[in-house]
Amino acid sequence: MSGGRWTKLRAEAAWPGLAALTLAAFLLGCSSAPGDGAVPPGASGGASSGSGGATSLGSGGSPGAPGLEARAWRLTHEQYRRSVVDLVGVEPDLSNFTPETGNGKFQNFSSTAFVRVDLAANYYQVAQDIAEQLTTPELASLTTCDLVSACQSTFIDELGEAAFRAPVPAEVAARLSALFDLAAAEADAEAGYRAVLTAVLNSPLFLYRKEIGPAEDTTSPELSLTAPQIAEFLSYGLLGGPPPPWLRQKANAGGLDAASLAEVVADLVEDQDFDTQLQTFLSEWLEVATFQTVEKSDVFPGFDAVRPLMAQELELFLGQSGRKDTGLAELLLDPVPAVSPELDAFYASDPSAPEQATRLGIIGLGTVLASHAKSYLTSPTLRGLFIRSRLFCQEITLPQNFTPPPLSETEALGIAQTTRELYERHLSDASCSNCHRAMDNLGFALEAYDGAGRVRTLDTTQGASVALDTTAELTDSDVDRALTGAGDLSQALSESTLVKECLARQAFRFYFGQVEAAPDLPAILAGSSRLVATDALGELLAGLFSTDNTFVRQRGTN
Amino acid sequence: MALIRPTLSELKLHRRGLLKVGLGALVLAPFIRQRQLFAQNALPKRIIMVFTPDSNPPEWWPTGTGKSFTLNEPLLDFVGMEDQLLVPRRLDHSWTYDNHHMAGIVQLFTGGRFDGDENRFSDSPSVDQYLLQNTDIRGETPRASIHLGVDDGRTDHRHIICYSGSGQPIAAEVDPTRAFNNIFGDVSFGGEPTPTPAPTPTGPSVAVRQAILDANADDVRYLQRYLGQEERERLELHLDALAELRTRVENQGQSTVGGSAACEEPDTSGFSNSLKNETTMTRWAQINADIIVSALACDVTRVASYQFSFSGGHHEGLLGFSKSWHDEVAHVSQTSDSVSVGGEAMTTRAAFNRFSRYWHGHIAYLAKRLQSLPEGDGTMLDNTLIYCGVESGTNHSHDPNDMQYLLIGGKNLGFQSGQVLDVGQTSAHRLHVAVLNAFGADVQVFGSADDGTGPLSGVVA
Repeated sequence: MSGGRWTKLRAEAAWPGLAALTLAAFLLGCSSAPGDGAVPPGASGGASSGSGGATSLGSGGSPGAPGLEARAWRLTHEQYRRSVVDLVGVEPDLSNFTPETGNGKFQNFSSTAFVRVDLAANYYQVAQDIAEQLTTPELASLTTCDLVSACQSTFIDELGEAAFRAPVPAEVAARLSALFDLAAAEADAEAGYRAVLTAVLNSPLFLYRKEIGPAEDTTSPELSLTAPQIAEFLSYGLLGGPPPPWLRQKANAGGLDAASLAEVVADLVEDQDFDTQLQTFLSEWLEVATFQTVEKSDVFPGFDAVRPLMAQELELFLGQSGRKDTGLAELLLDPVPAVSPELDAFYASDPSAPEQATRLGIIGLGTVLASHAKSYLTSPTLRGLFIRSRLFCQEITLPQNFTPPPLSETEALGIAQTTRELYERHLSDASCSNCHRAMDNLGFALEAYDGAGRVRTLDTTQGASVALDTTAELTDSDVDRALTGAGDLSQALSESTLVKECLARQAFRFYFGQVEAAPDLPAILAGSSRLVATDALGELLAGLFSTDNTFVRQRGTN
Repeated sequence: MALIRPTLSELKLHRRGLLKVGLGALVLAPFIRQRQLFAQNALPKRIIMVFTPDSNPPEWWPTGTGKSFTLNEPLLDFVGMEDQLLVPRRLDHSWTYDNHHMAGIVQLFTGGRFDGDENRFSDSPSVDQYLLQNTDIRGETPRASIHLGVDDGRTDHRHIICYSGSGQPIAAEVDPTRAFNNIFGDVSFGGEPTPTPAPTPTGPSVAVRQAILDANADDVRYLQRYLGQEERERLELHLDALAELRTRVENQGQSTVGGSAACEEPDTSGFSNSLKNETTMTRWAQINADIIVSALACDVTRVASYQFSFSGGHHEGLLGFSKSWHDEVAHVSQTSDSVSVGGEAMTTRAAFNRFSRYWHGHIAYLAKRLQSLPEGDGTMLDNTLIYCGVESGTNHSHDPNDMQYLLIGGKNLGFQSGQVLDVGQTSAHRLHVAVLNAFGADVQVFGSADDGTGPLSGVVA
């Protein structure tokens, strides 16, 4: 098995000035790289969201770049919770909600946000409970008119617009009115209002973000979102919740269009919820979702006890270094804040721990180090893969019909003296080294942190006691160099333009809820260029949301 | 056993399924044959899809062929049940990608390919969901299907075995308490059938509730007008869900679920979500199996899936092996080396056998529970097919060849159990076709990757 050769592809520059970006389209490994728009061999045609059709160009973009598809994007559970609270002032009980379905990249993709029967039942139960439990004054507070008088039309229009983040379509209002009549006829007017509230809370117009264009147009292949739809898209994206009053007013007053978009986005970046949503993105970007359940205490005593402290460390770090006015320099080079003596003691609990150890940036976080490792060992491969895929946007794929060779006797018999030595076996076998070289070589730089994130100077995992070798080599990047230790790696990553460009792509995936159909979408280009120029995360997102990708959609095939 | 659900009395053919095959009338034909078969005793027919991780060692294959065979260590917990086993060999998946972990689980029960590069889910429904969409397997049960897992709760393609359509994964529920609450909310266990709870006196009437759900469904259709096909299809799931809720509302206070002696409340105590602790994992597996058995016995559903871990799982620390089972046992699988498992020295092959038996012991528990419950002239297992598979070829080969599928039970469905069936080298998709045919789906091809050579002979009478 030849295993193929390293393939470094340089995509055609589709737009002037994209030379650096196209470097990020490396196809590492031996095959195509999904995520870069390639179709994996098993794909049934490569259909993916956003494919097909040229988009109009607003604030700059690639001619012929695929447009984004019109869609109804279900709220995440947290967005739903905030929306319910915003609408009725009641905290919904989500304890029985079926978990979100993600795809392994991010948890909020629209293509995996289904409503199956259990979730539909959850929604209905919350809606009915709230509608039945609100007091009469609370119910009355949802409208400006007096419930005692005949104000069903006003109630429907006002409640509906608040819930749907847009005026109530006439046919929907008619349905709600008929529902009111039915319930009121069975009991009284208040029952009618409660039935309408239940229906509104359970309506897809409440449960989904709408990217569908104007009501009168169901056929145009390309459409522009209405102002309320743009407000909804911006707010749930940048703030994680429904549009604040000022944004709704601006949308309703006609003050939200292509011309004013950049200004509105800049205002949203200044909102108090912006950093919280940003930190949600950064946390998912770090792929630490399994941290809460990973089991390591049998090998690393005390891990369970400090797990909450590590989570707190992540939160503190992102709160400090993951803000609108910080950038990759801070995310990669800021010292990790001390959380507690207990966590410090755990980090220093390896017998070979040095007296002083500085932990820098995201790759110095316990959550990251413990999540990207085996439960009993480090894993240079997993750690390297994390850096390649999440920081460089380089996908490692194997060639078709590749069958990994059996492990050698050395590995089977545990002859290797260190983890590094164990993994270096990958590099001595051509069929393995083709792919492992890029991953393991990065992971070797992090060997001073064990599988639980503790610091050490000796590797004893294979039974021997051997001084750690943290030399490594960063290849296939714009900052190739020899490295020694995590600090060198963090420094190199912080200097990389590719990493900044990749972060723009990752941000697109999270904030737009889909994988980019092409790396040169206007939103990604704008976000990337502003991050490269300023190294400020607020600038990245201001750029990301300020192009026509925010408001232009393709209808998709019928 | 009480199973009254008058508003689902009409055969609910899934509209999308029929649209996709475009042959609604032909799909109906096999129903007639199956109905005749089952009309003799009016017994339900059921299917449980089961996934175990990392494939199995060569010893998983029984020694011998035909009806004369001996079980080896991985399947030893089925000793005494040999007449319930059908072991087809030698089946291949039709395509592969990378090390087959992804491609293997995607096509395992779907015969499909990746739906694209965003999620790499299957582009085809799984066997169980196809049956729900195109046959009368559901009957009048309140839930189309249930899906349980002993897993970490992630939902990327390596954790998914069932799909309702292209790019429509069905995630397994890994929280038994939540599973119990969702599955058995309206069930009365044991004793005489009792009505499901009537609407609360203070809540809206049935008519109002239905009107609410109808209005919500019309709102979904309103959104669909503005969307392309792919997006519309995703919203079809929401419409299906609202229709299900409407039926539940309609039946409240009228229908009964459960109420038979066999409809026992499963014991969900003792749950721990550790994926390292052999003892608590076994308990977790038993809870899930008991939930499935109760759901079938109460006729809450006739379709289930049950999965252990995920494709390419490492299972570090399980069974007293401190390292990665994937890397250092399954991937090695030699007969002249030595590893320590729970303090016991053994070859990696012997360890692999133990690992394989651990998972299959859980399946045997499920099968034996079904076998212990009388139904008609036989047992529930006779009317239930447990359809098992793994993601990789024999001996963790990381390739698509010599796939290890196992069929258990289903005698009343015509499955020719009690044999190791040498089928020659052929496509695993043909096995799916045979299974579908047994349940009344008149298909010759299944999944986007099937080459269309029809059902595997010898599987079904």
